[in-house]
Amino acid sequence: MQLGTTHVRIAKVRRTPLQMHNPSDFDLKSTISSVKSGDRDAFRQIVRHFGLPLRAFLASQLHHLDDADDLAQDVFLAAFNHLDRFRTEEDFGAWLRGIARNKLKTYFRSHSRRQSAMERFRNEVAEVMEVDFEKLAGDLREEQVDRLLSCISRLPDKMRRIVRAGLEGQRAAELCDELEMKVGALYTMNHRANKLLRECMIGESA
Amino acid sequence: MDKDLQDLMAAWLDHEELSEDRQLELRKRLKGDAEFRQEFAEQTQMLSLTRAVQASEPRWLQLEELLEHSPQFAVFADEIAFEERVAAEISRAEGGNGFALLLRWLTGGFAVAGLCVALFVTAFQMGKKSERVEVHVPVSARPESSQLAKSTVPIAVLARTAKAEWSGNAANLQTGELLGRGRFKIENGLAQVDFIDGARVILRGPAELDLRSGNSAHLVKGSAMCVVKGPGQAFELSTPGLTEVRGSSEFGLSVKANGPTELHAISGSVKFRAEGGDLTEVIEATAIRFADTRVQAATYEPEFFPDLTELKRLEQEIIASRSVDWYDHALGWSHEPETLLHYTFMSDVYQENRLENHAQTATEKSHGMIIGAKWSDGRWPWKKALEFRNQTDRVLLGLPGQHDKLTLATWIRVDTFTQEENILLRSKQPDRWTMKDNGERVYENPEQQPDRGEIRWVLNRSGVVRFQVATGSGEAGQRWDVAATPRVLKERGIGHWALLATTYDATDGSVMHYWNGRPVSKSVMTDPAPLAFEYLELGNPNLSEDVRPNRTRYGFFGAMGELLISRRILNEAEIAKFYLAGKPAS
Repeated sequence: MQLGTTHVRIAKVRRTPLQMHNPSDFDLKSTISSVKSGDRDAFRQIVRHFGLPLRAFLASQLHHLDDADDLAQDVFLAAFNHLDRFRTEEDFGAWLRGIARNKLKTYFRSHSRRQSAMERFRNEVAEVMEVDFEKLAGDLREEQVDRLLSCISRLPDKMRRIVRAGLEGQRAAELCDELEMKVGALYTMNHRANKLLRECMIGESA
Repeated sequence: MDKDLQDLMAAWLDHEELSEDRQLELRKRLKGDAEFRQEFAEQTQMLSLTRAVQASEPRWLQLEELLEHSPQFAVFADEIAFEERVAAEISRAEGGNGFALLLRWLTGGFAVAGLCVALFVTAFQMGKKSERVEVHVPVSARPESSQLAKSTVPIAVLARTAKAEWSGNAANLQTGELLGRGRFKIENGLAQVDFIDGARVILRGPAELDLRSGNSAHLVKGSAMCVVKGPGQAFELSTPGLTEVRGSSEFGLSVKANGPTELHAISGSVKFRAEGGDLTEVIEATAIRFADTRVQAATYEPEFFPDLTELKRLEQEIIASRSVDWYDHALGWSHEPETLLHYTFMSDVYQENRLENHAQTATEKSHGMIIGAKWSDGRWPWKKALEFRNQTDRVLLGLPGQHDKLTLATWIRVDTFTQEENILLRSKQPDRWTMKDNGERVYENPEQQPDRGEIRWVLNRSGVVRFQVATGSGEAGQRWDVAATPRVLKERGIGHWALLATTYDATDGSVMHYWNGRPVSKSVMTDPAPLAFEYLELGNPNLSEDVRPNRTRYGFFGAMGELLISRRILNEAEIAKFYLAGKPAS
């Protein structure tokens, strides 16, 4: 787990079967049933299906994507070990996010001593936003997420560069230099890009 | 864009700090303004989604292990097949039959520690202090899956082998491995098994031995020499037809499939019981044959049994031949013009603080300065390695240059993991400073932030290797592109020499990792930077706390026995050759 000032980006790795995603042939009920009857391998389908939304959900509340990815793994491990507690009539994504929220709480608790004032502020904001984050995550549909990359590629050039680079940490300042923009304009453009992306994702799935 | 939203986003993204008053204002608005909350939630969700879909997919090693993921490269195929076979044997063992298991699934470190004590005490009592009994204790000896958690405790160690070829459960056995209860087969060559209660059995393949406890075993077939001195005299060997075979010193047993069993008392007498009959004694330098339920006298022929002298001689022959091959091969690498550095760890005179670069292009700066690390045994009797033990044990060297292509290859032995992270090699810039009027030094880069193009080569406690290239640094901290392997070093690899090699091509960002001569992962860096460094550091760096995430302590606890740095990309065949030439004899 990367903390503090170090930012680590994992290089692109060859996609493994664990990461392949083919939503069309996924049947959650039968997959869960297979896992429960001892076919551990079937759990991979669940990971493939719910991995990205879960990572995004966690990343929306954690500053470091690597930490979010580590927690996502913890969530899947817990889900596997306690799959018998899941009732099939429930929303599996919501069940996973419930586990994720508990993991997040533990994470925040265990890191609270080392936190700076700004980190504490962000955690307080995350607490206030918990219900809103959950609602948005619950509304998100799989096919919308699948379209996101294509939507990004259709953004106007400047917006696309901002979205691709991200605004975390000092990247915003670097982008301002690179694109010769002021910070306010950069945030406004990113805000606009996000709106366009949302419209694109929802519009296409509607 | 709403100013509050912009400030909140900037704070959320760690771009700007807010005063306490401003924080309070924003929290208040968030709590009271549902529309504002919705807007902020949508922005953060989209930011996290765009980050997640664009980022490389994480390697979830624990999850892959749990799901028994099949690695994508063939390097693990043998190990997995082996593990699966052993897992199957465990299942059967749970049904009532005992099978040999390796200690790598030992459930408790205390049991291992206890065994070590027992082995060392035993070795001491046997007066064999000069003979090295290698015991490799996996520090993180956790079971690899719940199914494997019920492994048996170790009762013996595979102390020595020569030209050994294994089959069945014993496939891939390495010298020094601990053995649990059960049966293993040697098809060819010789193997010495030391039992924890002091007995020693030398087998000549083809043979099959069933290990039953620390002081008993059953020879299913083949030829074995049993040495039972001191505390080992309680050792009991049996064969089809003969039970309670106990000797006072040395005896040989030979079991032929569907044929007679022979017992030769080589030194001291031997007692046995034939098919439940009376206890019978064979005196020194005589032999018996048991066939068709009858015991008869046999011609005494001790020369047909494997003994330690033969085993040692064979072992020496193999080592001599292999080490000469390695030396020829190493010379080739040293003389290649593209080789920037080649530490063979071989010298006429081993200096306490100097490690010689044998590359033809070596400069004075490229000879390493040894700080703290100590010379120790290498892969061959006539060459050495450097052992790293303490927090700042390291080697410093100057290797200035910029490179688009680079290959790193090293023979390492990890003895244990004392820390989460182990830096094997890292580049570093010189400490630049100016002197103030009062004589105080002012460092230009006090936090030792890496420059673009610097590297780290890291092995973590999970057995994962990472190759990291710095892509920049600044107030936000260091940024690294990282190419990681799946888990390559497993518990059974602890204490054994292994070849790690990594190639990096900055022109396309590709990184290949190799473990013991075979490719284990291929990655592409997202922001490939040409490599640029002044100095390199091997082993445990003396880093200030500021640059260690989570104040991580780096503690490579092991040895390095060869290091090659080439400014070209070695291909798969060359790395395989490097491995085969340098692979230890046993």
